[in-house]
Amino acid sequence: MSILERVTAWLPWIPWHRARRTDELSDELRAHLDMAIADRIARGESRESASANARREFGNVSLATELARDQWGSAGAWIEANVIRNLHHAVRRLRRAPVFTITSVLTLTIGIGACALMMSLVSTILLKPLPYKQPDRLEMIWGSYPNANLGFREQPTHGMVFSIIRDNTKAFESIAAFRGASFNLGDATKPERLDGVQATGEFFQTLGVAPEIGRFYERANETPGSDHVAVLSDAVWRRRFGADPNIIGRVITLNAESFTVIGVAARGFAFPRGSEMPGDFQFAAVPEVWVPLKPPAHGITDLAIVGRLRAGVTYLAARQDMDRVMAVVRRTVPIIKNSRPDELLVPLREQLVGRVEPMLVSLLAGVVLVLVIACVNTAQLLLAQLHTRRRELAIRAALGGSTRRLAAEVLTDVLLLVTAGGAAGLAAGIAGMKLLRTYAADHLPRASELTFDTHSAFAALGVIALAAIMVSLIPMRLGSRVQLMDTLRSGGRGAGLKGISLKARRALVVGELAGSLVLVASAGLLVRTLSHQLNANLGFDAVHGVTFEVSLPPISYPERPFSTGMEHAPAVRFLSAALDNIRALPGVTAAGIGKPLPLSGAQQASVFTPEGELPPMPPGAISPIAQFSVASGDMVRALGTSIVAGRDFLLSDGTASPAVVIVNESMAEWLWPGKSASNTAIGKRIRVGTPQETTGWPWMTVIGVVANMKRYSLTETPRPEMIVPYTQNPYLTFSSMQFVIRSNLETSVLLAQVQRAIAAVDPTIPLAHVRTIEDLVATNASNARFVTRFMAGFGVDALVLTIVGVYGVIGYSAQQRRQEFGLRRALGAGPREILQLILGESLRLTGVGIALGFVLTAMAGLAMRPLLFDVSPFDPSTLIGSIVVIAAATIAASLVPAASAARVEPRVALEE
Amino acid sequence: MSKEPVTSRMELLQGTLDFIVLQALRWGPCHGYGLVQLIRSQSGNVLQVETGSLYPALQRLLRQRAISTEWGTSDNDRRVRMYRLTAKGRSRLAAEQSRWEKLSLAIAGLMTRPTPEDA
Repeated sequence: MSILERVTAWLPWIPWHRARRTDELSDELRAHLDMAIADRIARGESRESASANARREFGNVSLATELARDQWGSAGAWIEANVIRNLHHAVRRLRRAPVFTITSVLTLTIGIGACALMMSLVSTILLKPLPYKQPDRLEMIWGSYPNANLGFREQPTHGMVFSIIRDNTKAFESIAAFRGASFNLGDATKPERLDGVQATGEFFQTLGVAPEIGRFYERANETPGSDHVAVLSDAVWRRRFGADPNIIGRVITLNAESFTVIGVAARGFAFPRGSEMPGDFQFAAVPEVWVPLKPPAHGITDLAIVGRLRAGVTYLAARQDMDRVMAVVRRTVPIIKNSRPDELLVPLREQLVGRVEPMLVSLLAGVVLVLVIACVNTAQLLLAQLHTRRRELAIRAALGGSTRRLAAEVLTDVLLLVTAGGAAGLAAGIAGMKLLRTYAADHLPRASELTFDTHSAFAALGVIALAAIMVSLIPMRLGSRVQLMDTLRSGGRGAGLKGISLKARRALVVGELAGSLVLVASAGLLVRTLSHQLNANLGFDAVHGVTFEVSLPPISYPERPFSTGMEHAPAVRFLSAALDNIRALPGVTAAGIGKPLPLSGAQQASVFTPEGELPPMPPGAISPIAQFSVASGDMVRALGTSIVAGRDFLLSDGTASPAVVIVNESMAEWLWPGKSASNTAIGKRIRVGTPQETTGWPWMTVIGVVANMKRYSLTETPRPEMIVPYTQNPYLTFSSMQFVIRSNLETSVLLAQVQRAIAAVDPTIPLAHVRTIEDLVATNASNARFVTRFMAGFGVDALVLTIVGVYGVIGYSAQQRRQEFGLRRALGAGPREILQLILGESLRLTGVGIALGFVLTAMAGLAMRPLLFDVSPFDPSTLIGSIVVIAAATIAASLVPAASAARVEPRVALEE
Repeated sequence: MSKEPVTSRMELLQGTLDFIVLQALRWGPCHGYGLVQLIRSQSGNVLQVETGSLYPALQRLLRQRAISTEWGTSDNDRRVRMYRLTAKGRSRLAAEQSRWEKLSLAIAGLMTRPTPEDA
């Protein structure tokens, strides 16, 4: 026999077998007949009579063939015998125990659904390759000031530095610099603000993406004359241009200049996303238009860089190459020489998702724990179910039923339950995926890529298989040890089964209790973190504030660099006129402008030098660095913060008047330490630029000290900060400016009036990014809220499952001990003693569960440390609270069976 | 022309045919026609196996792996299918044997001639 035949021999209904074996059978029958005839002839019969007699004796040949073939069975019959009948019986068994079935399926639905969803999310974000060509070769290149304590490591790069890197690098195949920019699309009648990106020629080539239609621009488009081309995002193309297939070649107006559309990016392409880039850059959530950028020789210092490594170049080799290039930079660029910048290489994947990795890993661990608890609970219910069938099982064992058959039955039950739970869980997971995509897209990187794809399908299948294994393994292991004959001998009361089953079920419930404690306590820690974040002292007042942004097109509002900074008279004229109009509106109590706003997702820093002695600096630092922002007068009042000493900016602090600056308390304490640092600060002088740059920047007199504000995140500690009047801004940042208005009007009413007030100055300027200050704060807590909601959900799931588990075990144990309780009653015990007995048992279980969970919780807390803010991983009140919750739930779950057992009458002792 | 007395032939009990076939194969590999002859001669011409029963039985035993088969040649060089007992078939035979003995004892007990008291 060939191997194939050997393997398939036991499946005789396979067609090719069937045909061949039919031939063989008829050969065989013919041989039989021939032999019979030959024998008869040998015994002396004539050929004719021998043949006739043999045929008669043989009977109906085709009937014999048919009957023999019947023995092979058919595919249908085989499946019928081995699969359908099993399933049929399983369905009947499960229908006879609806409570068990529904509880198990619901349990598994929750466990599998949550787990499949979270696995898909995590695999999409962390494992799925980025949607770029050979994404492993993409690196972000950031400026870095290793010795400046800024709280964030990624810094922008100067345009000149970028040009030198691009000309000298050997490690990178291509690199591109890009910066956020905003564009006013269209003319005066219907201006619309678009969030855009300016990027150098090789931007798209470096990422390795293809356009949906048209083409992308190239290095040649950096030169003036061919640089007025634009690439639209798929979303803008559809929304604003009705997916016009003839869009290529059309001329559109961006910031009052004409640009030719040369391409539309593929659907879903959105690089860079604000949520994926570090805070010091002004990137919008999703870019909508890309235009070429010529690497600027001066002025623009806020470049981000992405590079594609040559094939085979390692991270280390790239690092060395960058060190070599930076040596060139330090030799050749005078203004860079003294600030000693470095460049930092961050793999793109790490850049995009590194920030959320700890959060996702914690959530994944949490959801797997939920799945384990769900499976343990189902296994526990299954054991209970087996136990109620003990008489039937014992009888079957006595009649020769094999344990293998029993195992097959349990397995079929489990498979049915897990399939039902898995299907329902999968449906729930897919529904949840849609919710999650919209809910998480803004603050979770790559969440928009979440779809039900092969990744998620494999994740879900893996989860379902895992559940099936976990659920079936436990009863199988125990089932094989069950002595069915003992059960029968003990009159069906099942000493053997009972002993093992109850012990096992208690152990399972202890496990559930421990797991629940971990999840409840983890959720508790996160809830405390979230509430600390939301109640953190912001340094400003979030209530009743509205903010929006305007962008001024450089063609009508030019900015000119001159010897001591930038000159931007037209922009100042527009902004002060707009502010005047807004302040004149009825109901407006304060209005100011500035940039960047606290908690707006962006921050800026600048080197500076105080007059006199330098403040203490981190070792190796060459120049002090502080947060930097610009503001108008009244911004302090609009934000609801307070001037601690000195005064606010006045209208008189204008372009031509002496330079002034406001610092925060932290800056004052750093520079002029002492008892009343804030008062000391007034009148002192600082300037931007490093101590080594002795000319160029004017000295600014400190006229006021403002309270510390949360700048970038709710969890940061106060950092030194300086605020410069927007009229005296030494840097180029007027392309967009943020307004803050405090009023007692409805937001919609206020906005309509504000719109008119601004249009009165320049009707081509649209409002963008309208938000309340409360929204800004809420957005900043969104990650904490996300992880907290999920973990709290897991905690509740686990708690419910555990209550079911405890109820089952305690109820069962009370049922088993009815006779004993009756006897106790007969001997004089009151209902109260019985109650105590049962509650005591449940408390013992809880005690063991909590002791075990305590250790696990400590480990979980340590692992979650990066997610916590102002809460110790071993926070005693959280731990005690969680223990109380678990204990209360357990007692509640055992009260019902306890109460019914307490009512047992003494005569029960005799009945059973 | 031979006429065999109808009374000398017995209907086989359901399930016993498999046992008889296994029993017959104990003596060594044999083909289907040989089995018919063997069973008839060993039962003193009492048991006549119908081909319509024998071949289904052989297929059944094959499926249960109690016997195996391959093509061979008969004594007079005819190409025939030879059946032989497998290890599994041997152990099954042993089990059936003891079951059969019990059953035949029991039936023998039931079938004793009526005593005078019964009459």
